[in-house]
Amino acid sequence: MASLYPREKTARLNAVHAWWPGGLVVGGLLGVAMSSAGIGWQAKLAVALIPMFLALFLSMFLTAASELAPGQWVDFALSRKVHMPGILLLVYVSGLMFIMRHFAGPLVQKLSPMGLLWMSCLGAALGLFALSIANSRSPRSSPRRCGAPASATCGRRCWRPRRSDFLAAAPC
Amino acid sequence: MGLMGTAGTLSIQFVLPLMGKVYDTEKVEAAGGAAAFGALQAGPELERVLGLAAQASFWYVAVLPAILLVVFGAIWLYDRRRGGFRPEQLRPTG
Repeated sequence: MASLYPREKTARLNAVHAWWPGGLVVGGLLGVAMSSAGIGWQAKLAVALIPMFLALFLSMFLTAASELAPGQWVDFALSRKVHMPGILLLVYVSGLMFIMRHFAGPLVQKLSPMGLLWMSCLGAALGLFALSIANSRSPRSSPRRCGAPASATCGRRCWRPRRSDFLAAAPC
Repeated sequence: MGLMGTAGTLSIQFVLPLMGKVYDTEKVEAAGGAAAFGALQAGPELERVLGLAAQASFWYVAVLPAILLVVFGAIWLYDRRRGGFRPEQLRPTG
C-alpha cells in the first residue's frame, strides 16, 4: 500500500485498516440479526467462511497440503523409499525451491501467476504420483531386485497403478 | 494473509494424520494382517512393508494437487478469456 500510494501513505493505510472494524460492524450486525431470527452458530460460521472458503481457503489448504504434508513426511517415509538421509532430501528440495524462485519472474511474465500455479501443481501431482509407484532405489542401496539384477528390469514397473495392486508387488 | 496462514497450518493438522492413518492401514495390509505385521522382525521384509505403506500415503496426497489443477486451470482459462495477464507498471503519482 505504501508503494502504491507513496504520497498518501497515512490516509491509504488508515483506509485499509478501517476495514478491520468495518468487518466487525458488518459481521456483528449480521450475527445479531441471525440470532434474533433463531439461526444457530453453524450458519453464522458458514456465512463468514463459505465465500472465502470456496475461493481462497480451500485452494490454500490444498496447496499447503501438497507442499507441507509430504515435506513433513520426508524423514519418515520418503527416506525409506529413496534411501537418502532426510537432511539431504531437505537440502535437495530446498535447493530446487531456491533455484526455481530465482527464475520465477520470467516464468510469471510468460505464463501469468495463475499459469505458473497450474504448472507447479502439475509438477507436484506428477511427482507425488511417481513417488507412489516408484520401485527403484539408489544404486548404492540394496534395491528390491524383482528377480533380475539388470537395472532395466528393476526400472520396469512391477506394480500396476491401481490401489488393489499397489500393495501387492507382482514379480517381474 | 492470516487466513491463508491458518489454512496452511490447518492442512498439516488434517492431512498428516490422514497420511498416518493410510500408512498404518496399508502396512498391516501389506504384511498380510495385524498378526503377520506384529511378527515381523527388523530387516528387509519389514522395510519392504513399511516402504509400501509409505508409498500408499503419497498415492493419496497426489490427489490434492490434481484437484488444484482443475481449480487453477479454470481460473487461468477465465483470465485468458478476459485478455490474459498483463503486468502493471507502477509509476509515481502526481
